[in-house]
Amino acid sequence: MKREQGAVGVGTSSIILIAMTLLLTVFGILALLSARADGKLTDRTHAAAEAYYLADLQAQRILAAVDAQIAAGEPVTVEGVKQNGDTCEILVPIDEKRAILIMWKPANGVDKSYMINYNVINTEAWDVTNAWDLVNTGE
Amino acid sequence: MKRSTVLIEVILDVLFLALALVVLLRLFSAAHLTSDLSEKKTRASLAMQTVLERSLLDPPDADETYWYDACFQPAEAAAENRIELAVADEPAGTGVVRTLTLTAFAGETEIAALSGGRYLPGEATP
Repeated sequence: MKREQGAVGVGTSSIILIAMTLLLTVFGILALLSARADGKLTDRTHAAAEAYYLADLQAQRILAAVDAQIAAGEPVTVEGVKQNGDTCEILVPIDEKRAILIMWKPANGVDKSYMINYNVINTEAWDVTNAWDLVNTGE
Repeated sequence: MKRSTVLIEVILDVLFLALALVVLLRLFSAAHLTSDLSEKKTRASLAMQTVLERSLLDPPDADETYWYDACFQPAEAAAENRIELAVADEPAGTGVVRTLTLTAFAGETEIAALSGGRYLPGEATP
């Protein structure tokens, strides 16, 4: 009498095991890559905040130097200060794309010196050739 | 004969599975730890920015410690995580520039730091 052959042949379990292992390895690598990408994004976000607060601190030191000269009645000679009409301004870089712009109006015999601007501006040049065509004008 | 072949195959499969599981567990564990650390860093960074913004509006005179729970939410008393604020004054202009240095700790491990400061004029500017 011939013995009944089993449904699972030799090698089937190995093939399933290898397929499962490969699949788990792919998932593991994807999980690790995703976690590392998250980590890099976290570091970049924190570095951007760090750069902003360091530039802000630098701006405060510049303001202190300007204030000392104004208090002494001397002309403002702090490096980087530009006269723009009846206002003075200085740009403190944060990174390649951002800077803190400080503007103030010097004392003019009638009014005291006062600050008119202290905010973050974009210093990146606007590249029109890379602009998206959001509205199709037909041209 | 066939039964012994199947048995040998199963033994080899079990050995291979054991080896593969060791490697895979390390892989998933590394992914989990990296993800966990970046989550803590993100939460710590946001908490530090909140503390720094508040402190820049009204700069404190002395060092302070702020306590946070495991998710970096403010806690009343000593908790798992903390942010230490160190204050340093340097004479500048007519007053001082007060530098505030924040360091975030998850347990006893330093995970992030942030510095900022404010100029505190000593007398009215003409």
